[in-house]
Amino acid sequence: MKDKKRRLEAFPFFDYTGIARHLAKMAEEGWLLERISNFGWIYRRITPKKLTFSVCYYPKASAFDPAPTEAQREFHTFCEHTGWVLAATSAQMQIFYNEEADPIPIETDPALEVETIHAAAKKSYLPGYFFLLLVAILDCALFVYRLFVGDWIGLLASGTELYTIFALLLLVILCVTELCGYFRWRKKALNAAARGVLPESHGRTLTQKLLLAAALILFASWLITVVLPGEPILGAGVFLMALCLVGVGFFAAGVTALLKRVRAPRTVNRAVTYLTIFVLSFALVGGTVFLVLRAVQSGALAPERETYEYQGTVFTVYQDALPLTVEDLLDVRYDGYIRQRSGGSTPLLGQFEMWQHPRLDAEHASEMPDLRYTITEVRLPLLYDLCKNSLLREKSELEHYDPTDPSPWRAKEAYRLNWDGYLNTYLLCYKNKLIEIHFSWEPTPAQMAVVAEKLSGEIG
Amino acid sequence: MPRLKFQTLTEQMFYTLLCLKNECCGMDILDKVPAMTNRRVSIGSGTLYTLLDQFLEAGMIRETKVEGRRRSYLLTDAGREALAREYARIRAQVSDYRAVFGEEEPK
Repeated sequence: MKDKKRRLEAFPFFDYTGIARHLAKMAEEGWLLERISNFGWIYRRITPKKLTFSVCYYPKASAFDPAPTEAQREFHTFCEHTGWVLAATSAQMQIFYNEEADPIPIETDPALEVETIHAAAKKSYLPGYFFLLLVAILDCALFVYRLFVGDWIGLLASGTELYTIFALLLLVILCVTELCGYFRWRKKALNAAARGVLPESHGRTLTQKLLLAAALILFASWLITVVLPGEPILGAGVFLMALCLVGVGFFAAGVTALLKRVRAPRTVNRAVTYLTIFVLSFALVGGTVFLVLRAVQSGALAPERETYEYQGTVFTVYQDALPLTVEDLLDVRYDGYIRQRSGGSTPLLGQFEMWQHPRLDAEHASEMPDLRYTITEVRLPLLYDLCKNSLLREKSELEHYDPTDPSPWRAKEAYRLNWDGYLNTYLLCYKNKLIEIHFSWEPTPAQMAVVAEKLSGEIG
Repeated sequence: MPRLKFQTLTEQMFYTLLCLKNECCGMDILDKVPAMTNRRVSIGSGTLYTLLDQFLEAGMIRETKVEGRRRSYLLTDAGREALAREYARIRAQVSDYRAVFGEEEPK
């Protein structure tokens, strides 16, 4: 029979009522809190008994203290004098228990208690959440900036990008909920303290629980819908990075614990821990990105593909399935074509780029026809006009699209690129698809009909 | 800020300062207050610790000696002034009560 038990407890910092109630229940079940570590709350087996717990706060304490300071020990001695035994501490939070049936509470002045809790919250709880909120908002702002100045269609068509922004939004909501929860409690507590009472604290609210559940569902659906079917390399990179960051967290906690053990001063411990987190995060994330990029470049993560060398550079011979090929349009007899397809889709948009071109080492490669097209599949009708206008506008100052007859393409609208004369590049607008297609030759009406037949339907 | 805060004293503040007319440590106060008030007033250990800290900061008490984890304190002139002010306030309240109800004891 085990005499120790480790549990991961998720109480908000200021949930003194919830923690005390939970610990009293654990004691009745025969488990007494012994220590709070970065890796969970540790309980030891006792004879089941009724104990009264009190969670109070010592604002001058720090998570980096090698041991309680003399002043903190004096505070503990005060509490012991009134029958309160110290069970465990975690930074500013001090947890005591008392065997007496109706002990004098540790805090008997609600106004002072609210003040003390707020002083403790200002030490790490509030700055931590404000910092996290700031980082999440900055990341969201960066995403919005990229939406406005970059390839927004590509962003909305990337599952990973979209899931990332949803995760960041959830983080923003979570931080706001947590901070609002605290300040709502404080307002209520201040009002109650003026009347001489302290209200019960609240644990995680339903909103917070729902948000955590949503975050887990989001992560699982990202794995299932993006990583496994379409972007395993990217997924592996992101997953590895997430794993690294968790590893950094554990390592930093280990460093803090080690420095505490060797009695390093609070300032040294804090500086070394933060430096460790900073350096390791950069090193591990940078290292992961570097390794993934190297692996992608070397083809280690991709399926085995044929390659060829041309003028000292190695090229991959892609043979992806394309919905429309040069052979569908022209009578070409060459089996050395490279067929490349990339892109992704989300519930909002899909964008796939297809390219068929001859190998560079082919005889008369420059004279052989090639075909390049991008299919933008608009799944949210609201985005159709935005996408169309964006594709029409995104050309350089020297080139622009002019309307052309859509009937040969069987499209709703068709545009042809003009760059000091017409090029064989068209933008075709179908019901829920926008196709930008470039031919290395002038397409005939019959070929236009084939394009419509092959591309206006579902993407193969 | 603490000065403003101690313009009026709560019962717990009042008795803590009262105990410190003579030098004593925190744990003595924890015992003295219930004894002095016939258990009508008790001060929680956390509350007393915070109060002593704030009184020190406000210059209402001073530290006299440190023996291990036992620190002893004594009331200062500022503390005595605060106590006197509170006493005058309570007396004024008593006087107002008497002006309304006379000498009769409350039921």
